[in-house]
Amino acid sequence: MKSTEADRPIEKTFPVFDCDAHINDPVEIWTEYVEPEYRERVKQSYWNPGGGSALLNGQLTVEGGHSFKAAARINPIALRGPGVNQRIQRYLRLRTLDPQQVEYLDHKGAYDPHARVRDLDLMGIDQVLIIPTMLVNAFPFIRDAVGAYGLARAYNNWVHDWCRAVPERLFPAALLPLQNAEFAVKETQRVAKMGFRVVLVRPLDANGAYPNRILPPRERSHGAGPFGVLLDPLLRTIEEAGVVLGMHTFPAPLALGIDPGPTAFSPGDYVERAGRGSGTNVISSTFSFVLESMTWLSQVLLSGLLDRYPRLKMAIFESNATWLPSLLEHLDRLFKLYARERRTPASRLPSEAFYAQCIIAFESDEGAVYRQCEQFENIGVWSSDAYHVDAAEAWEAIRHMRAEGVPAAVQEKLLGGNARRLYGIEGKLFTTHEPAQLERPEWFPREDASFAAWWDRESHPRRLASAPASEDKGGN
Amino acid sequence: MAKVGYRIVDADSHVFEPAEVWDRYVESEYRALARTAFYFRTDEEGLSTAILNGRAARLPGSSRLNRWAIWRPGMTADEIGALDPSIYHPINPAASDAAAKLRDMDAMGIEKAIIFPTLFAEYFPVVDNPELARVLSRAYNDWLYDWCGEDRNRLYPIAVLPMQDVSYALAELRRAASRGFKGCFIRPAFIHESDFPTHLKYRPLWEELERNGLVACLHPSAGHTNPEWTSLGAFVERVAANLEIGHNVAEAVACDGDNAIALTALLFCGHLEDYPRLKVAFIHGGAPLLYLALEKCETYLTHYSFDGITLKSEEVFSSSAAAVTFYSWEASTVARNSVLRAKCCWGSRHPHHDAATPEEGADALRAAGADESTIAQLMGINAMRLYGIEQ
Repeated sequence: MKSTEADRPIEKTFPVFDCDAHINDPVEIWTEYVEPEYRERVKQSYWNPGGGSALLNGQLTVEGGHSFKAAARINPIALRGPGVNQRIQRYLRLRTLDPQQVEYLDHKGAYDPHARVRDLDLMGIDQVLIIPTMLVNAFPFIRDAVGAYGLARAYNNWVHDWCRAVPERLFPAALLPLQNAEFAVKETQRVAKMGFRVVLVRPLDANGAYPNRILPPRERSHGAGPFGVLLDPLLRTIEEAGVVLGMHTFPAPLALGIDPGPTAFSPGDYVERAGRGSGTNVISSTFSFVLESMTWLSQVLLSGLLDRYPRLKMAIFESNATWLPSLLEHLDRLFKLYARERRTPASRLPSEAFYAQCIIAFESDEGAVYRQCEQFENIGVWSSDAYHVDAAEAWEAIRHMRAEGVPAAVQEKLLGGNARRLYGIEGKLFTTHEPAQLERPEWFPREDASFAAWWDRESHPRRLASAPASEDKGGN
Repeated sequence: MAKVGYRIVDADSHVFEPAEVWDRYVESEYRALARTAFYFRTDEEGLSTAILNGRAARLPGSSRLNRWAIWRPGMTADEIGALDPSIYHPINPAASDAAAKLRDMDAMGIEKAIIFPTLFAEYFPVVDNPELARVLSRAYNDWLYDWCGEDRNRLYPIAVLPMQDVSYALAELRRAASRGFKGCFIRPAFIHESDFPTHLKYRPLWEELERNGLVACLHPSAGHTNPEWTSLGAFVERVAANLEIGHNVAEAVACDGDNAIALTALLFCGHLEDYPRLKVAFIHGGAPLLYLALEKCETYLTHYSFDGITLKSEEVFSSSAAAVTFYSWEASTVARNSVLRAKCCWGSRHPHHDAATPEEGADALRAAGADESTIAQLMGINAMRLYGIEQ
C-alpha cells in the first residue's frame, strides 16, 4: 500500500551501482564450463549439476542451492526480487505452493542475464556486481588445489560470459583458488586481463588455511601446515593488477552441512552452536557475515597489513556497516595502546588505513549508516543482496535516506559513486522511476488492509495467543 | 565531585582479583584443591602464574604490562602505549584496593560504580569441576562483598555464578540476592565448551532471575586465553596468530560479538518474552552491534517461521527491561539512535587499559548531537533505574 507522501513512487536522476548481488550458481558452470582437463578433478572437488545437493570433496553432501525446487519449496536464494518484501516472503513461505508458483517465485534473473536486467530496472538498479551464492560457502573447503583451480576457471569464464550479455550493466567478480598461491596468482592475472574489477575471498578457516598467512612464520614450529598458503605474492599481484580484493562472508558452514569438529571454521559456527540444547535453532545468518568481517578487519588493521600493500584496495561485502565507526575508533585506541608490543610494521591508525584503502557495503535499511553518513560518505557502498532473503531495492534505500535527511550528493555517492570510483566503472543511468504496481498472478498476496491485519497478527503471535480465538485467514 | 554536571554511574567498572581471594576467602577445607581449579597470582617482579584445571594456563597478557590493571585517571592511550612492555610497571592500586578505587572515582567524578570481575570473567567459566566452581564463586562473591563494604552507597558488587552446574548457580544466585547484590555476572560463553546460557537446563535460573529482580549481567571477556568453543575470542586468537602481531586481537571484536550472539540467542529462544520482567544487561561492548542484532533477528525470525516468537525484535527489546553499556567509541552511534538512547548506560572499564573518563563519554555524546538531558540519562540515570539504586 503506497499511501503516504514518503511512500509515493520515487524518481531518481543518478545511476545506482549495486555492489553485492547474487546469482544462484547455474548448473551450466559444471555442465558446460569446466574444461575437459579439469573435469575429473572438479568432480572430486565440488560438483553441483543441479536437481539436489552438491558433493564436496567427493564425499560430503552439502546444500547446493538447487534442492529447494526439487522439494517444492520457495528458494531463499532467488526469492527477494522486485516487490517481494519481508511480509510477502513470510506469507508465501507459510503457504503450500504448487510447482508453478514455486517456479514463479524462483527469479529468473538469478540464472538469466536478460531477466536480471528486467529486474534491475524494477528495483532501481543501473549496474551491479555479480557474486555467486553457494560457491562462496563451499569453494574454500575444496581440498584439491587443481580441482579448485579448474572450478574457479569454470566459474570465472561462465560469469564473464554471463555479464557480457549486458556489459554496461553487469560486472563479474572472480573466485580465486586460494588452495594454492601460484594458481591464485595465475587466475588473478587472467581475470584482470578479462576485465574483472573484483576478486573474491572469504575470511574463514577452511582447511586450516585462514587467508592471512602473508609471510613464512618467524619460528619453524609455526609451520604453515598441509594447506598453508603464503599470500604475499597474491596480494602483490592483486595490487599490481589494480583489481579490488572483495572479502565476502557467508553463514556458518555448520548450518550448511559442513561440521567443524574440534575447531570452528567461522565465527558463525559459534552463532549456530548457541542454539544447541535450547530447543530451537539460532540462525547463523544473523551474525556470521558480520562477525567474519569484524574478525578479518580487526587483525588486518591492527597488524598494519594495508601498510605493507599500500595500493591494495579492499571491499567488505555483505556484512552490514553499522558496526564500522565504533570498531574503527576502538581499533585506533588499541593500536595506540599496543604501540610497543606490536611486532608488525604499521604506521597508520586503523581508521586512516581503512578510509584510504577500503569500502564497506551496507544494506537499504541500515539507519545507523544514514544517521552517521558523514563517516560513510566516501566509503559506504550500497548493496541489494538480491535475490537473497534480506534483499531490498534501491528505492527502499533512497526512501530511508530521504527520511533520515541524507544530503542528495551523499546519496549519490553511497548509492553508486563510491563503488564506481573504486572499480573504475563509468556510471550509466538506465532506470529512473519506481514502478507503482507490478503485474502479479491472482494468487500473489496484495498488501491491502486485510493483509496488514494478518501481518500484525503474524508478527505478534503471543498477542494472538493471549487473545480470544479467531480465524486467521490471512490477507488474500 | 561530578565534573560534567551530571550524576555519573559507571555501569562497567572492574576489579583485578588479588591472590587474597584464593588465599583467604576460599573455604579452608577446599583451599588446596581450589587452587588447582583456578589460581592466579603476580609476584613482586610482575611475573604471573595462572593455573586452570590443574595445568598452567595461558596468561592474559603478552608482556609484563598488566593491561587489565594499568589505567589511572588522566592516562591516555598514547601514554600507556609508550610504556616499556619488557619491564614491570606497578598496577593501579585501585584495581584491587577499594579505598583507592573510591579515590579514582572521585578524580573521575563518578558517584557510583557497578563492579565486575576481570580474571573471574576470563578464566572462571572454563573451570571444569562444578564443585570447585561453586567454592570459587562463593569465595569471589564473599571477597567482593567485603570489598564493596568500603562504601556500600558507591560500590555495587555483581556476583559470579557457577554456571558449571545449574543447581549450584541457583543456590549462589539466591545467596547473592539475600545479601543485597544487585546483579549477577553471566558470561555469554559455552560452559564446558558446549552449553550456552540459552540451553534449556538454565531455564530455572532465568526464572529465578525474573523472580528476584537481580540484573542478569551478560558480560563477555576477550576469551583469548580460553580453549576453542568457549567463546569467539578463542577463534579470533587462533586465526590471528598467523599474522604474528604480538598482542591479542580478540579484545577488539570478541566481546562485542559474544554479546551480539547472546542477544540473538535470547531473542530466538524467547527469553525476553518468556520472562517479561527479566532485567538483562549486556555489558562490556557492542551497543551498535546489539542494535544491529535486532534488525538481523527480525529478518531471520520472519523467514524461518519460529512458532510463538514475536517477529518484531526491536519492539520486544524496547519493551523489555534490557539495558546495554556503551563506551566513548560507541557514543556517536548511541547518541543518534532512539532505541539505544533509552537503553544505554555509560561504562568506564576502569582500570583496564582501554578505560575512559566520563568527560570523554559525555563529550563524544555531545559531539554527536545528544542534548544535555539525554547525556544525563546515558551517564547515570539509566543505570540507576536498571539497578534500582537511589536516584
